[in-house]
Amino acid sequence: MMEKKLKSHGAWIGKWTFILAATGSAVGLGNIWGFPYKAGTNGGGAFVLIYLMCIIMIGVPIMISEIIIGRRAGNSPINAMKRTALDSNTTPLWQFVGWSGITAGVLILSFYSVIAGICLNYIFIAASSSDILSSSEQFGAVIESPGNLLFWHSIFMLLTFLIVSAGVKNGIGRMVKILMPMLGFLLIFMVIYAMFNGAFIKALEFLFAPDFSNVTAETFLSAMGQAFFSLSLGMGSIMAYGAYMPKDQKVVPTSFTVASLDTLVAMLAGLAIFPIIFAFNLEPNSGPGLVFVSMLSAFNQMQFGQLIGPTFFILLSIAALSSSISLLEPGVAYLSEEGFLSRRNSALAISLFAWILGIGTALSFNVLSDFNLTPGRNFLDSMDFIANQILLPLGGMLIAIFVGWFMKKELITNEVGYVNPIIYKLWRFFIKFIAPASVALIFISQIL
Amino acid sequence: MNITDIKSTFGYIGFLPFAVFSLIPWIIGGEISKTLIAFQLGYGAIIITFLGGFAWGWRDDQKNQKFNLSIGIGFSLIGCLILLLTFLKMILTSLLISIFSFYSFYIFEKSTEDFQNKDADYQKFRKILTLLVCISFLISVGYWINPYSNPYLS
Repeated sequence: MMEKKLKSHGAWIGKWTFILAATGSAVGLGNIWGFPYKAGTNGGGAFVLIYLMCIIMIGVPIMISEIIIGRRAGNSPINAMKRTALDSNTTPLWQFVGWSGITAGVLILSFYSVIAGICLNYIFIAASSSDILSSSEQFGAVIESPGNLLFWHSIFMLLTFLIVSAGVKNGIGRMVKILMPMLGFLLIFMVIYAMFNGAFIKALEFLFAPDFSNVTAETFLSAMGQAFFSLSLGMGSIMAYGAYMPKDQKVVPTSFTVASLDTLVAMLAGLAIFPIIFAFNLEPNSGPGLVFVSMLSAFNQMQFGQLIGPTFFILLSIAALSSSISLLEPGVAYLSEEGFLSRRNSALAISLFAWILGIGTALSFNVLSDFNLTPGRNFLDSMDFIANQILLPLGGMLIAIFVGWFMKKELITNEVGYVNPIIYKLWRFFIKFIAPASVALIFISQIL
Repeated sequence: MNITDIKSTFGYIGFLPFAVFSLIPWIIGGEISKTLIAFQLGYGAIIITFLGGFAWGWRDDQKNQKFNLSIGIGFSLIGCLILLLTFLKMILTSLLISIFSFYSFYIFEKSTEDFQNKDADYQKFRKILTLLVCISFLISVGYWINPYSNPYLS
């Protein structure tokens, strides 16, 4: 047992708040600009099937594990891991998982804020786009201006800080209840627009027509990576959110609901984006190139583009904001529960730290583009490499190993409650063997 | 199975043709899509005509029941109108009237004392079913007016 009395953070009101918060954390830019392209170029429906299999075998089991640890302890990921490890009569060094998650979260937040800042900037660019600059020239102009990037980075970080500093119930809980329905509404609006005006059939074929000839070992690896990264696992966000989850809420169905909503949003994003891309004969793409160049180009050409364009970038910004608050929360929870700083000051300290790191990312697009922080990687790529390619898979793998092999069985069963015995046995099998091995594979493939 | 479960099971089975007729055109495309959407409209017309008759089975001593009988006949006539418009190949108009009539019928049914006395599960089932049917018609509207779909091009 831990001697020290830790400060409480409060709890979510109602079972949907956790679902919305966790879905908000999981649904980010990667879902919108990554999943549809990966699906389309890796066998369409075949990829979707493999992805769903990976979600069931890797994503959901690790998510259940994170929620169990978080809710049982009711603390930040560091203390939750430490407490659970001590209660399982094992070494408190397992708290390293919490530290690694929080570090990864702050590093990701630093560059995520810069990218999300560009999304905010594009709301206005899309609303007032002119024919003077092509969309690629426009994107070039945006990223070549350090002042512009820093301004929007600061705005986005400020928004994140304000939400998190307001607390679990009044800040994050209240905002996800506004942001997530808004995201859903905008997404459905975009899909209906694309269904009425875009090359919808071509997009359906691109995303869902199964082509098993395209399925290779790479496809499995790509689907595994998507299933793992898409659910915000390994960074402590789900564990931190789980700490505020009501005790009577069922862990397993809730995890499936979050994973299903995350997948649904990713698919709807594909149905909103690709009909427009194909309608204007643009090449399907992924990442910033897809949204900031191809989509802007389409908005510039289409009827009502100055209305649809900003709507799309508001959608992207909301998705980014709901994820960024989950990146900040674990660190804030730790600092404030330990009593080092008040919640507001904890949020301020970590936001400021992430904001300063973000300056490096903003400058890596322009004045520091030739500066390599790690061999062959500029500042942004280095942050991404350390967080996404090392810390997250490592954290996810260790969580799976801890719950599968070290956590006391009765602690797990007490927290999970009654579950169909077959589902429980399957989950135990996945978390013991499949999830750690798969995440290790993702880890190795990322490093090599 | 209690009576609400039986009703909802049959209700969802009854929704399946709507789902099939609205989704298949997006999957297979081609000339047959027109026929499938016409089938959806025909099926919807039969259902809304049948729903209009519901009003005659509601409790006679409830408020506005005399007026409800006339409204019920109105919905049955709308069903006939949809069938006629479909026959005249005014597909888009028929689809829009279908969405309007199914949703209006739900609002009409919801306003009656009979509906308010039903259990919460039944009320939820009716709401979901109406939304699903309206979405299926909306999907068909999308197919019909989408410039890249077959009906427009041919």
